[in-house]
Amino acid sequence: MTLTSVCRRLATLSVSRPRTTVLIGALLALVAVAFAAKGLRLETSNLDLIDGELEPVRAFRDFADEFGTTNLLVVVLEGEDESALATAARRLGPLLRRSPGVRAVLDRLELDAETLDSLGVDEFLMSYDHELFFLFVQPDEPHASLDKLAPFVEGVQATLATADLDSLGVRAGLTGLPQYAVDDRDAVRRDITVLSGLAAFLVATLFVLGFRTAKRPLLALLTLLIATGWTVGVVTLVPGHLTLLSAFFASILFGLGIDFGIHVVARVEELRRDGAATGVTEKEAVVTAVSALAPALTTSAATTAAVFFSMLASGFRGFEELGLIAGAGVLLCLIATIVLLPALLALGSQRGESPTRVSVGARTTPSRSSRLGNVLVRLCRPAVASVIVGLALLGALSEGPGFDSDYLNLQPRDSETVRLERSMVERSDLSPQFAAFVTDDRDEAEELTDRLLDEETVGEVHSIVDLDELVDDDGEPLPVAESYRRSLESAAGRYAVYAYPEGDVWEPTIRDRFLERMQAIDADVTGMPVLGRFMVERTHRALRITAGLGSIVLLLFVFADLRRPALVLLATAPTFLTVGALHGLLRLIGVSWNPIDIMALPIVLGIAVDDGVHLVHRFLEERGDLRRTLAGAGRSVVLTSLTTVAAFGSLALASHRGLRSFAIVTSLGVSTALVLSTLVLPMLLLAYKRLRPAVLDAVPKPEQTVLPRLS
Amino acid sequence: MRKLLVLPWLSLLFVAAAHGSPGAAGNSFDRQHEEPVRRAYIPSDDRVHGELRLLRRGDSWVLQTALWSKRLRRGVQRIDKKERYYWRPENEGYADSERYRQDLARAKQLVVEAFEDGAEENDDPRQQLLIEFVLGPCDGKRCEASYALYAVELEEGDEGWAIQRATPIVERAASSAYVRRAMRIQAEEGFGEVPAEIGGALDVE
Repeated sequence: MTLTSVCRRLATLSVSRPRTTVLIGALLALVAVAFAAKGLRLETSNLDLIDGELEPVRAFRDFADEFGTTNLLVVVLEGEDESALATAARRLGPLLRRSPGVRAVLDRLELDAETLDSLGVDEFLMSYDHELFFLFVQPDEPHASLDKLAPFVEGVQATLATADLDSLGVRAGLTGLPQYAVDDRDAVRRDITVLSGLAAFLVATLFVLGFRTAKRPLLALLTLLIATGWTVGVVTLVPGHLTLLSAFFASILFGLGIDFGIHVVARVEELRRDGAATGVTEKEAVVTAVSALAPALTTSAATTAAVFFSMLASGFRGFEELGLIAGAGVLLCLIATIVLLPALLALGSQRGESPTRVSVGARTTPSRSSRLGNVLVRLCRPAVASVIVGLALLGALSEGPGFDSDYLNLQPRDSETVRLERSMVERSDLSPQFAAFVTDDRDEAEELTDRLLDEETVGEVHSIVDLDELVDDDGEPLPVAESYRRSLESAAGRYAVYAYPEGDVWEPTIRDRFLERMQAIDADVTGMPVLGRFMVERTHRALRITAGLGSIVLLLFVFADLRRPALVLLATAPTFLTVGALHGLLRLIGVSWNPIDIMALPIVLGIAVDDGVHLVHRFLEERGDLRRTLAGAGRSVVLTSLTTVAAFGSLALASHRGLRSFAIVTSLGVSTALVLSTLVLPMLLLAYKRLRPAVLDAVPKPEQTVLPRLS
Repeated sequence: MRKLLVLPWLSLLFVAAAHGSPGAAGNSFDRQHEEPVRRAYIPSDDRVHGELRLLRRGDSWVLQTALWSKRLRRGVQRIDKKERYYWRPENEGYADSERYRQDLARAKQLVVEAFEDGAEENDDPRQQLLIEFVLGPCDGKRCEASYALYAVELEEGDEGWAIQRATPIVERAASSAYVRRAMRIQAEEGFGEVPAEIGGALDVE
């Protein structure tokens, strides 16, 4: 039994029992969603994205458990009057300590002016020019989960709002990773809310322009919704939760899964239109379309899923889970397209259609859709194709766009949080990002403090040694807040030493130099910069593994379908040329890869291989008739690409630069794949036809069997 | 009389020589012609980590900061922060201040390393550094100006701490605007005022 015959049987069954099929499909989706509502967890910590057993993650968690987290929020007070800033800091400290979720506040030394003067120490943490005062606020949530951090940050924001600092001429703002996490959430939420409307409008417009009707595309969309519901159920079973990364799976499915439906709907329209004279029914057209498209749909779905599954080897838990979920989702979309969409289309068709028969693969006469084919044929010129291939190869050989690991470059350009952090780093030797060491005894802490103070890459050091200076005239220790002491000396009798980088630790060269020195001093050093770089390295590695492994599995699946090496090369040429061209294009427009863009890669590969496979299959089916190939599959390829560009491209207007970069990479990749598939691949196909006419002649003629009358 | 510290002088001299001594400005250490004008412990009489002295040396005014502390690194870091506070990029003398901060970091490093190399021989855990700002001689309002950093050996005497030996680490000419303002700030912080004896010498040209 061939794949085509299996699909035909499933589609036939579906259109024969449309109500039952839809009912079962919808019911399954409802059960899955209900199951998810009860059992699906949302893990919102960045630490959930990575294997907790890896040494840097374990060290970070252990430190947080012993001394409190190093993931601190920093209140920055700005003003020109130092005494007003001092008043504001004194006022805020006690208020912040009462704020929900606050474990400790490092704001000032609570000593009288005479003692401070006598000690020669500053009361506050300040910038060099004394125009910025800093209050470090430590959350009691040690493991950085957003659902706990968000109320903590909002509580601090509310405290600032009620502290009446304006009357002192003091401006207050927040920086540090907890604030970035909340900024990310708000920016992504705001951008997606606003831009998803634009995306929906653009996609709907494309549907109407492409199909001249909304009914069938809407049914394809409904199929996708139901398949997404099924996927949610699978996610609830394995892995049982969503993370900050895998929560994007629905967007990815909407970008990729709709393509299967578009191919079917376009083919149904084509069959209905071309078979109008013979009165072909909707059901017959649906079964015919699914049967004819079965190999191409299956191959493109399998390759896309395989590329996602290749993320399982990425070594980055966030991408592994996203790969698993999105891969499974793509396969479920394929099943829904073959089983459920025919039933929906059958139900959606008008009753009383003429029961005329139609032959699968019967040649159709050129019609409206062939206008697009004609346009594409006119555009297909060897010179044009050569130039495009040349540029793509040039892009592939170019230096490439590099990898931007500066997290602040993902934030909105006018981000207040970024401005405050940059000001803090530039105008003081403090930073929200610092390295944290643990020593077993006090002497070791003292030695380490001295060593760090000698380091050029270190701006400031805090440790238990600081407390040695805080003694009265008799040499007795002066009182300090217990929480402050606990951040320096744990209940277990061990000591923490904190080293603040000299310069902007987000700048990769400064960060690498700082961390290289810190790790040379103690390989077990932890802190946000250590963990941050580790995560960035892991995502970079994930990108390389996904690209490499994804390409191999992609080739294997296409080979399993087409069998002939030359055809495999033809079908995958747009994909590999797209990756090369994208490399150069990103460099040209000054966009670097970033950790979020890794999600764009499987989408671009998925769409590109989808384009190639569909065009090659149709070319074979049409026995080398390029005009008919482009009029049929070409139209679907253009529509699927444009809807993906519209859906993801609208995010290019996002304020969140990470989201914007993802949108640009995805749109550019999909557009490049479209250009290569419609302007270059046809030339290659014609060349193949000239070189190997026998292969096309050997393609089995479409079955001329007459479909049974379907009611 | 108690000897504060025996530094491994020879190694320090080698290290200082190896690093060179930029732009000597005629402010060589000369105790024979010094006349003390004012002195004060820093940061306070209760907690002594050093001493500030105003001297007359020939035709020059000299403001000396002698630091002796178990935590010299921290003391130098505080001086560094003050420099950054008082000299912002738009201030005249900013470039001098930048150079001074670099020289100070280098001098601190040499002193601390020399101290740690000879840690077993030292009978006192305090590290020592001498900083001098020198203004003069003057021709009208135009004055020669410089600063210098020394590794020193101090001894406690009847008249307070006396410098027994000093090895120059850096001697550098600087703008008189920078040196005048630096001396004024240090005097105000250390003595609580600009001593009357120095009169208008610290006024801006």
